Amino acid sequence: MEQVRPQSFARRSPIHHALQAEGAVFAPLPGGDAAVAAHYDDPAAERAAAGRLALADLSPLPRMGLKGRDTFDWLRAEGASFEPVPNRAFAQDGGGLLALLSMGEALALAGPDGASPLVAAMAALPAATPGRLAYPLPRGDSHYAFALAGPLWPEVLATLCGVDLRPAAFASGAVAQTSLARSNAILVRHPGDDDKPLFSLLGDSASADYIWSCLRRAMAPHAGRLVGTEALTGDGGSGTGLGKNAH
Amino acid sequence: MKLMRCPLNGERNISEFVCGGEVKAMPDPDKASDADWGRYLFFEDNPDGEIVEWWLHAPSSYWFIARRDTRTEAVLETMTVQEWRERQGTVGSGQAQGQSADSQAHGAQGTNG
Amino acid sequence: MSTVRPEGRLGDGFGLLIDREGSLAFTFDGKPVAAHPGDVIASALYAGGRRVIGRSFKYHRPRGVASMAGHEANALVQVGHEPNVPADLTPVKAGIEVRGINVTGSLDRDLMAGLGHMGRFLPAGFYYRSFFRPKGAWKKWEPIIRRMAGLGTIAQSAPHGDFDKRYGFHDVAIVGGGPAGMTAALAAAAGGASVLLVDEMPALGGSLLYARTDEGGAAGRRRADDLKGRIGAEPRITVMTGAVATGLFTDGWLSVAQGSRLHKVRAKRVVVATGAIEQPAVFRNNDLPGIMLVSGGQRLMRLYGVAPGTNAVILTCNEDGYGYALDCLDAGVAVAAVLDLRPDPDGPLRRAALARGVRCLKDTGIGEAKGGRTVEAVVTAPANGAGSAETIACDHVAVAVGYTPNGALLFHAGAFCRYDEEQFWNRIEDLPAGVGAAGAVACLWDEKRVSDHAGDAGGAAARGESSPAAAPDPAAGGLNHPHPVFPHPQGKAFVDLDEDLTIDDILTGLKDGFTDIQLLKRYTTLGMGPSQGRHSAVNGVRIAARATGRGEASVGSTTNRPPYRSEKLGLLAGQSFEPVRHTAMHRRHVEAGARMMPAGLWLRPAHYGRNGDAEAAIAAEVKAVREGVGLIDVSTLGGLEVRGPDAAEFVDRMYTWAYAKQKVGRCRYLLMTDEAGVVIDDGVAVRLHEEHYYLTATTGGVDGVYREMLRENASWGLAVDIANVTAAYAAVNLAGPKSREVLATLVNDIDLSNVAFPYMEAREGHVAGIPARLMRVGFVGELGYEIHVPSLQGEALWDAIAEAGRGHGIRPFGVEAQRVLRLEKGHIIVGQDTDGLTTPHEAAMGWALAKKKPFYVGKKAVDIQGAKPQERRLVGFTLKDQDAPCPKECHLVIEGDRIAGRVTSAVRSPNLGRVVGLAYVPPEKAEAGSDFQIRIEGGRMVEAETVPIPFYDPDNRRQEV
Repeated sequence: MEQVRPQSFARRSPIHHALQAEGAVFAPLPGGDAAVAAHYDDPAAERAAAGRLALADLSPLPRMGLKGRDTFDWLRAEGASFEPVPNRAFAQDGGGLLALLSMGEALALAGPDGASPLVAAMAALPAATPGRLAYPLPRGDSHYAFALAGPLWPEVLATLCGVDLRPAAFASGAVAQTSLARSNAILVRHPGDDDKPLFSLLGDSASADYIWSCLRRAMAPHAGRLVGTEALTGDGGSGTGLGKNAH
Repeated sequence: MKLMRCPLNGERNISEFVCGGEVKAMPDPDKASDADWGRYLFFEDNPDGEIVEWWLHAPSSYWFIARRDTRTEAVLETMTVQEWRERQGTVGSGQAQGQSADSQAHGAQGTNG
Repeated sequence: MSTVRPEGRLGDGFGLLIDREGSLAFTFDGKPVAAHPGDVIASALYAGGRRVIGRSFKYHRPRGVASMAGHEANALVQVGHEPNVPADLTPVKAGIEVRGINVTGSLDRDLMAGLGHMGRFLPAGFYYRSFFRPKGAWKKWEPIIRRMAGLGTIAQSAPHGDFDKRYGFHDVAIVGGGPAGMTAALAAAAGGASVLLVDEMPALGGSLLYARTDEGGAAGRRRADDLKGRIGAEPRITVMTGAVATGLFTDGWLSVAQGSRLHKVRAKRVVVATGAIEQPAVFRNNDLPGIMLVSGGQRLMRLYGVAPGTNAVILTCNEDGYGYALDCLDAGVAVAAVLDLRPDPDGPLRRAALARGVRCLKDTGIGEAKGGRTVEAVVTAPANGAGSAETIACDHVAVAVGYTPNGALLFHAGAFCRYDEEQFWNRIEDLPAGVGAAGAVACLWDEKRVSDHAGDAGGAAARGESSPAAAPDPAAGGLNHPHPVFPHPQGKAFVDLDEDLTIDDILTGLKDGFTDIQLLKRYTTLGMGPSQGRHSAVNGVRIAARATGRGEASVGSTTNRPPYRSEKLGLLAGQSFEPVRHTAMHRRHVEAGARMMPAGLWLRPAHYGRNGDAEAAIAAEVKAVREGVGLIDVSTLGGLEVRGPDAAEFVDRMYTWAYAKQKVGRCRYLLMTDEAGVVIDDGVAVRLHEEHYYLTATTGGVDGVYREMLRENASWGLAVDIANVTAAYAAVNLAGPKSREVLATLVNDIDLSNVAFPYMEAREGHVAGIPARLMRVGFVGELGYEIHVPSLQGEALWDAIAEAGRGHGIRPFGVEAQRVLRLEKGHIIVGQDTDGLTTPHEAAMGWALAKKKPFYVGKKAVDIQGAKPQERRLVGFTLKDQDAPCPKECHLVIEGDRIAGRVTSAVRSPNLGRVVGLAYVPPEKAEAGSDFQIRIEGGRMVEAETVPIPFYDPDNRRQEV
């Protein structure tokens, strides 16, 4: 069976060279327009690491933003579940996460299974429609997306970020727009289990190589592991995955 | 390291912010003399006391207003641009088109810088 | 008397921090030294018999440990590559190579010690007044004096250390793990707060570990064990030992250095319980090795099990001296005498000492100490005038004349102090909100009072309330001597050990007119050494007060600023995070041999072929674009989406030209001025839709432009959305006469003919199947297409075009080639050809100013300046002599004897075979054909001539085909 390579697709993660150098094994996304790192050399150890300290690249996954006065109205019309509170994230039926960055801006992320009707709906919007004051943003290209899995991350991120990310200060569903290693970043603690937390880290895609190497260096003293999408999905745990019905 | 309370993001280290200078009302360019315009551009009140300033939360590109005491450096209050304009009574024509100044003050999650 | 003594550590009750079973070895000045784990360098040296561990700053006098707490610089040593390591605080590590510093020769025989006899020529401030005549003398003396002064050496070859930083978050931070700090920590934790407790020493306990307040001598240690046990059982308390709080900043921000990590702690409330620093007495030769503070001797004995000598004289004015006498007896050290400065001393410890046969004199002090490299005897002197002197032999002197609160962190936070003229120490006041003080630093002394108050302070901190103020403690009355300064006609009574300042030096400063304490400090350097006045500031104030007939309170004092202890630059640097931005094609550039260069945070290819001749590579790239086809990565250029019903109005207000009537599908040059009418950015506007503009901006300017757009519209309230999409799009410029041919093989859904897709228009479609925005713009002056695609597909686009162009000899070209190409067309680069004052009129950009718009940012200023005569003009030029060297940026235009302008860009154009460039010249030289002169390298003048731009393809035919 021929190996799937990022180069088989036009759309590639900003760090696909680094991932290949680390020995990632790729799988095509369900949408078929990119390859994502599915696992490395020890899937069992990777699944275990996801409950402790693990890092995955989810940059090729679908991701869109929407901004403008009518953003919340549009989301309600699409049946998204959320409360109109800024800097909060909500899991969506049908898959994925909706993060509200302000009263007029939202960011939708698909899960590792690629399912997010909300992202698809945003992507289908024309760039500008007269009368609709809600404009799609190409967050899939402007931002990298990394998944940080495991309860050790707040301690590791304390060497990179001046925001208190421990559960008491940064609870389930919290969003922080801040600076990490001197680069602007969005941090989300996915709604779910405090014992097996999952964070999404998003930021300037041009800085992806730099941020990835900062995270690797910060993880090293704590024996963290690189993992792929397979370690984050389908293990039945309520908080680790971005899969369906993760609440 | 000072703390600054951003109306959108809450209390953060001041290193996340950029000061945009004193809030100055622009005179009507059609009516102002050249000298008036020069004064508007190049002179600052530099008060020994309370000053009202533009501040930007850089990671979220969010502009807001802060009242600061220049003697003690204490930040007395922060508020949205919308709220400041309401206090000034300058909420007006722009609003007719329905955009809240608050959602305008917040740009898309910016890139570095 | 021999300076080398046999090793042997004290027994039970002593040596709390050392592991007697273990052993470590290191070297000092090349000779082996034995140590126990837990020893600091100074204690191991002392145990091995070494008394002289340093030489003083100015006079190179022999020095030994005095405070054993880093409160003076006597114990600074070099450890391997590291200079100025405090030997009295730094634990021994196996194999370290320690050396004495500030010596010529050896510590025992410093050839510079003769300077001690030159004191008359080196008073305080001598370098302001001497060594200046004859003229030029200072130039000769300065390097000599600098070599003689100064401490350790910096090794240029030292390996990089590994440092990092960590943020920490706590409800309450307590600095100081002595009795007050531990009590406050327990109270805060009991109040529900998360607590951080920081102490400099390797174990909690503070003075409880070594001070003697009871006859039996074990009360302190028992109390320490009890408090430590309770702290260990309290999960809400995080303890950091071996950690120094170096600074206390606004809003509870505390910097804590622990090993090679700097902790940046945010605490809602801070309690400072850093104790008090014992103060020295000033008498002749008070700096001899073997003379130390009582607390210094106690630390040597209790913490490290090292006997300070065999025969001690103790100078005191309080109970501490008698406690020390009992310590000495318990350690087997003979006490020759206790000299009490008080006329009528009494107290339980004095009585206990007398009962054990200690000879105690009253109303007696020290007139001078005697000795060569170590103390050998003291000569007593009556404390109050009348009485006789006695010479007492000894090999150790310990001094207990009082304390000063260790309030540095409180001063960092903005507190002030006021000298208490009844208790003779500085009371610290005006604590800012959120900061409290507990224990001796708050001038509390009695054990119960300290404990009660510290408990209150901790509890208040947990509740987020202000700390209760501490009323003066009667138990501190009589603790401090009001004036432990005893001048001697032969001088050498040291006030500041770090700076080698004697009483005479302070008096000289006062006589020279520097009576203000701030000036006195800076003129004499009192308190400016490594210990920052910890042992010298208060006695300095006392001397100044008495000499000028003022009270100490009115003399005032100087403050302290961070850091409390010296911080390595590596700690402050940490891991030196330096963000770098890559385009989607970055790897391809590196693989193709590009020499990458920084453009802001981005890396861009300067040219390809990094190992060869740069000029030749650039020329080849330029040639490829002019004659064939070239490809450049322009992803770094800014991209902004402006959308909404008021999009056109918004663009019209932000930029100088007219955009509201721009047709969909057309491109238009963008020029931006600030409110003062100065050119700040440029780019291209593409109207994709009635309510949608895609704007490009310069690489360095886009982030600032975006912020200003957001700020302006926050005031204007227009119905428009602005998004910075720079990183969302990768972009290339495919340029050259063959570019259309190459592109045609990759595009099916756009008619690329010149009729269907003319110059200065834009189209959306697909290139190699990738969704793309295409724009025909003319920056490099050839037929070309700027192609913008989603950035995650940028590498695929690059590969597809490279493949498609292979048969046409396509070459990648970099920033340097692009600069040549654009300069041949006379196109300006904002920030290079414009400066902080350039207006559109000066830059010949009046064509980009709308005639009929009522408003744009900067319009009024532009109009005001346009109505005045211009002071300079930016013009194109060439050199009259084609073989003359090409001028560089910022070479000046000279007219007679004045500067008349400058070159902003210049290049020897490969296509034109001559030098062309842009320069600011006086307006009368702006007309084509005018002559002017440029001064180039070496002061040589070359003749230049104003010529029209563009230089190359003046009719712009090539870019419009």
